Amino acid sequence: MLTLYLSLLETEQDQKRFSYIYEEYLDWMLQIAYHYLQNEDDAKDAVHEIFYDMAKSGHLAPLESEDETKAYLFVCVRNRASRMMHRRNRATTVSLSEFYNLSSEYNVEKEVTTEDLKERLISYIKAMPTIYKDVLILYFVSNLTLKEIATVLDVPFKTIETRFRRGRALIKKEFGDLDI
Amino acid sequence: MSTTDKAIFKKSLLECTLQEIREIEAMDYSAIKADEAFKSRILSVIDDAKRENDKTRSRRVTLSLIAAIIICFSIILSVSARVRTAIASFFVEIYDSFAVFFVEDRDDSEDLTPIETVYEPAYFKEEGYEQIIHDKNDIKIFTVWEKDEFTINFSQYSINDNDIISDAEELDYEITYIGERKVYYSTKNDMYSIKWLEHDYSFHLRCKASLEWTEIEKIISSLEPISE
Repeated sequence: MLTLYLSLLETEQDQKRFSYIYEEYLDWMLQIAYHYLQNEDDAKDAVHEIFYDMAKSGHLAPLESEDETKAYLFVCVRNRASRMMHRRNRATTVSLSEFYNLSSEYNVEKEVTTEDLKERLISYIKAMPTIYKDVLILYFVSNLTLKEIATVLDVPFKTIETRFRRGRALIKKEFGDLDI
Repeated sequence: MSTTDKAIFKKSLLECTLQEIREIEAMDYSAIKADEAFKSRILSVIDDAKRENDKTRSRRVTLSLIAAIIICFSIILSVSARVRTAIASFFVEIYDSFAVFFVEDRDDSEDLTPIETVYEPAYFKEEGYEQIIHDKNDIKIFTVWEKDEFTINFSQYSINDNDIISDAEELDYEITYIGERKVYYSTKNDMYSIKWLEHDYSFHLRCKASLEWTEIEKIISSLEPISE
């Protein structure tokens, strides 16, 4: 069955990468999807759609490192699960006003070391709405273009552009000195 | 965009994601695995995707080829000699690996732009070659130069509007560079036949293969406009 996925891919390198992802991460992706959907059938649907879209579009997870590959696949699974939940009216969303309230505790005037900055960033990013966070992850960590992100997440390009702009604006609002 | 800030932000994004992943991995979802039924379901959907991909791909390739051919012919018919030279060079480039092209000798002047500037290798006169034949019409200039035992034919041609280049069926041409000039040469019957495109014209040089290649390089490199 793996050969059928592989036949969609153009190059031998793509096929090798796809084989690696399929063998190493299939069960892991199912488990992540299950965590969000709490339903095994829904989790299988989500993962199945991801693998099919990957093979069809040719966008495969970057394999710079295991961490970056996992981050990429995690975002793909979370995004797919989130959209399925929305479709089934089981989603909860974080409103921007809640998010801004959450961020107000940080003192931007404080001088920080790089490690302090990183810790603050990590906490802040954790609290961000996933729709913005996922786009930033795929852009800065997986080095995808916005157009590629739109394809991977199966979301219109204009929407991805908006999410990217807003996500970056949130970071800049909180961490004014950070030049991203 | 600061490289350091971007690197810090990227690391933070990655670390945040990995922390979230580790939190989920700490939960016990080991019972969730891909079973055979799930794998079978994937089989049929992939078949559909492959069929759709093949159809789309071949349609895209066909349309691209047709568009490229139409565009190239439109350009060839409508622009200046300078552009036609560039297009001629382009066709020569893309067919390098499996075909050899040379500018065909044409006497039909109906569809050719007359030669406006006459070119000649200055090396001939500098090195004492004697011009023994000079024959010209609107679209072709043919000269023969002689020194010692060497006789060199040198020709200049207008570039044809509709049929710039054609296959060389009887000669196998190889490619080399003289300066930045790409030239096609062959040796058959102990003769050099050398062709190239330059200054919106095509040139052909023919001489005995016993002439030193360095001499040929000097001849071709000394090409300059002359007044007639």
